[in-house]
Amino acid sequence: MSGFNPPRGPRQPSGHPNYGQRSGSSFYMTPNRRAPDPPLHKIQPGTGAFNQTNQSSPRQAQSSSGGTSMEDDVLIQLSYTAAKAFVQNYYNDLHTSRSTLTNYYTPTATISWNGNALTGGSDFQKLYETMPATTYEVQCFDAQPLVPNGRGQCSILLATNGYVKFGDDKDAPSRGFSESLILEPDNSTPVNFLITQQSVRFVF
Amino acid sequence: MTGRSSLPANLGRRTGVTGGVQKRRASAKFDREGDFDMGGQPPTGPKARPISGAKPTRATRSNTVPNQKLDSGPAKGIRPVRNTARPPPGVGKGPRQPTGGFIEMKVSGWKNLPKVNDIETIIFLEKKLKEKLRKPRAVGENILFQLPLIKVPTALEWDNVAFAGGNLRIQPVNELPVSIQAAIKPQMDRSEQAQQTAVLLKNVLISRYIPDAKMLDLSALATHPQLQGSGFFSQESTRAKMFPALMKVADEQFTNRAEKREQVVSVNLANNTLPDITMVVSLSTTFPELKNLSLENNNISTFKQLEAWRFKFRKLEQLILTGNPITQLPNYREEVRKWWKTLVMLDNVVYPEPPPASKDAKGAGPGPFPQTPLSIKPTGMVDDPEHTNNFLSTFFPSFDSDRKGCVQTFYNESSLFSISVNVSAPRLPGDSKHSIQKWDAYIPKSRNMVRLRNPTAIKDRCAKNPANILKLWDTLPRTLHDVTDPSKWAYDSRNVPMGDMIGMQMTVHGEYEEPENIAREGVASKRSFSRTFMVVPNGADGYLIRRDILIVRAYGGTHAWSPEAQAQPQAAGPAQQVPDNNPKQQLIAQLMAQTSLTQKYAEMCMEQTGWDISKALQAFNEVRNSGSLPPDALAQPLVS
Repeated sequence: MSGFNPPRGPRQPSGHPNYGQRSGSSFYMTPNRRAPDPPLHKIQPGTGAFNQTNQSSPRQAQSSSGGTSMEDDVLIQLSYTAAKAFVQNYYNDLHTSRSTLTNYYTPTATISWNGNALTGGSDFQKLYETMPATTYEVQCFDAQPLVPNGRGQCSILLATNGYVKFGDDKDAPSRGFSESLILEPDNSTPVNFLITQQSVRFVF
Repeated sequence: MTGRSSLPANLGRRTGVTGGVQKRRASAKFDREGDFDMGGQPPTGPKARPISGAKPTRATRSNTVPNQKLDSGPAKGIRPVRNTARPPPGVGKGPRQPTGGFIEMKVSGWKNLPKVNDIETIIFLEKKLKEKLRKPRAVGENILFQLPLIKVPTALEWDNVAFAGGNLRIQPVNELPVSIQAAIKPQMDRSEQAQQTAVLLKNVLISRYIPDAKMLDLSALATHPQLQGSGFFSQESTRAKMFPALMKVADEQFTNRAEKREQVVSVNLANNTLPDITMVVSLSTTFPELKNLSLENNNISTFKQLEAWRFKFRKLEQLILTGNPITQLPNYREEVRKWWKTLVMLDNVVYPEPPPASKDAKGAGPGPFPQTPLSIKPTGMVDDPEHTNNFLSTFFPSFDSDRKGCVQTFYNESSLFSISVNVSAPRLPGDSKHSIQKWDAYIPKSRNMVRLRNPTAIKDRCAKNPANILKLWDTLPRTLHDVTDPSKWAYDSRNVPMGDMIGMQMTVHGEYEEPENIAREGVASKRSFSRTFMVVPNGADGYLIRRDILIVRAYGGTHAWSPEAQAQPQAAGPAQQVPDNNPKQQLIAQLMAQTSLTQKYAEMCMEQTGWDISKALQAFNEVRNSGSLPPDALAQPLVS
């Protein structure tokens, strides 16, 4: 049988999380993992995310005109770097490396694929292993930082838009897609960002 | 201008006799469109504007220039240095002869322009004349300055140049020396003549427009009395320029594409002895949405000669090629239909096969969906339908009608908002009606990280707190979202922990109109968007948006999630077998579609929740999220 109901991971709140309910845990992290936030200037954005090296360092400049503080600026830069690395790798692997797709997900990730509920990377990988050949072209993406996890990383809200071509023919049909994802840093060093929430929709 | 009354509103506009404004415009246009030389003198002066001097090696020119140089005083390079040493006498001292190689010029028409002052006018002129103005100064209505004699003809070409919503007059203060008048005279004549031509062509258009038929009858143009008189057809070179010029003038009669579409449905080009369409090719740019076109009795013999129109006239319904050798080609009718798929009739004979359905029709899209292991479901995953609906149906109307109120209601000091534009998103083929491709208002704020790499811009374009978000919103076009029509929307809404609360991550796909574009473009223009919100409760029944990412793109319709698009064959899809005349069965089917439950479990779930679909969905989500859903409850195993 399919893997629609993998065992719940430790971080999944027991019972149905009702909107508006107090969750009791910090943002995507179990309380015991939470350490004091390090000084912000020590945060290195995009450290090793998906093995991408990144030379840029956080700007120590004054607050930007968008109204964000320096702390925000660092997190914004971090979310850009991580999102960029993610987009480059993930959408490429959707057609070249389908057998490893599960590695992009937390085991309990909740996914909505064009209105179909999937849970965890294994479901998603199974779906893509039976999909026709796809070539993704991300034409637009934007990312914002969520809440820092206290270890110099934060979860990221990512939105992408582009088109996907089905098949290798020149005239192969293609579809526009839009996605939004929540990426969460894991415990590994260098850190990986894993999908905990994903909403996929063909929009054209 | 007789006959104007029989014209549609705009064909009588811009009569071209309101003074020098038209003269200058017309001259520039013809020049650009292909050296519309009316046989007058070519531009003279050593530094004539480049666009006027398309053919610099004419005898007339080489004759004029030396003369002018001889008459107009010192050779280039000597004058300026000498003269700057001695300041010219001030103005207002009555008539005064130009000193040395300089002419006193005056510029008027800037004083009553609301947005500019004298300095800006001077900067503008210096840019246009490619010359630093000497001693520029504002005196009353005029800006006075000095110009080397040799530059005067060039400067006068810019007389009546459009500037800041008005026109500038550039004139010499005193009468010019005879020598330089000689150099300028032909220039003036030439623009006069170009203007006369514009009026002539306009009269031709007026006389050949048939309002009842919305037809422009351009047949047998060589026999038109006014055109005959003009000498257009006396030689091949002017003949070739006549039609593009005619189209240019036609273009100017309309303010937008919708007007053209409404007022010119048919064009008749019969009996013009056209060997191909080279001469008339601009017709497709001027009237791209033409429905009926006649090329009857010309000399078109191959498809190659029609090539330039192959991908044009995408709305063409009727074409007449009778009397052209091309009609003798094998498979002629089939080929023509391949080129213009929308054709209903060729040479007055109807095609037996109707043309494919218009791409503008509702539900149009880029063809059928490829087969995917899972079906596309119109309804997304919604964990909390009540709050989701509440939020969506209050947020968007508020965003549309009162952005200031909206930002105060839904955002707080730590909220983030950013917008990005995908200018190259796929578009509906041939959808010129909805799909405007003007993004000027969005690009400066777009945070599309595919294109944007500058870290400063990436920070600056992420607006934090209500004041900054509102500031950004104020630069964006006004919007109109239709929350009354669910078919226009597709969204997922998942409950996610946010801080110490459970919030909602909402991913919303839909469309909006830009009301201002309706006025500007004459059509109801739309854009598609995807917007992601992170929302937490705010008070008893309010919502606080923590994060807001908006992606805007060309209008792409709703077919991607509309039920009629889901025609792909389903392997043993039980939903398809359910008879849809039973309301209970319909509810079961609906629940199955939204949850992937098997029919058995869907029925069970509906039973237990009193046949209330929203309760059933809630129950399903509860059970699923608690992990206690039986493994056989879900249909459509991904891998058998």
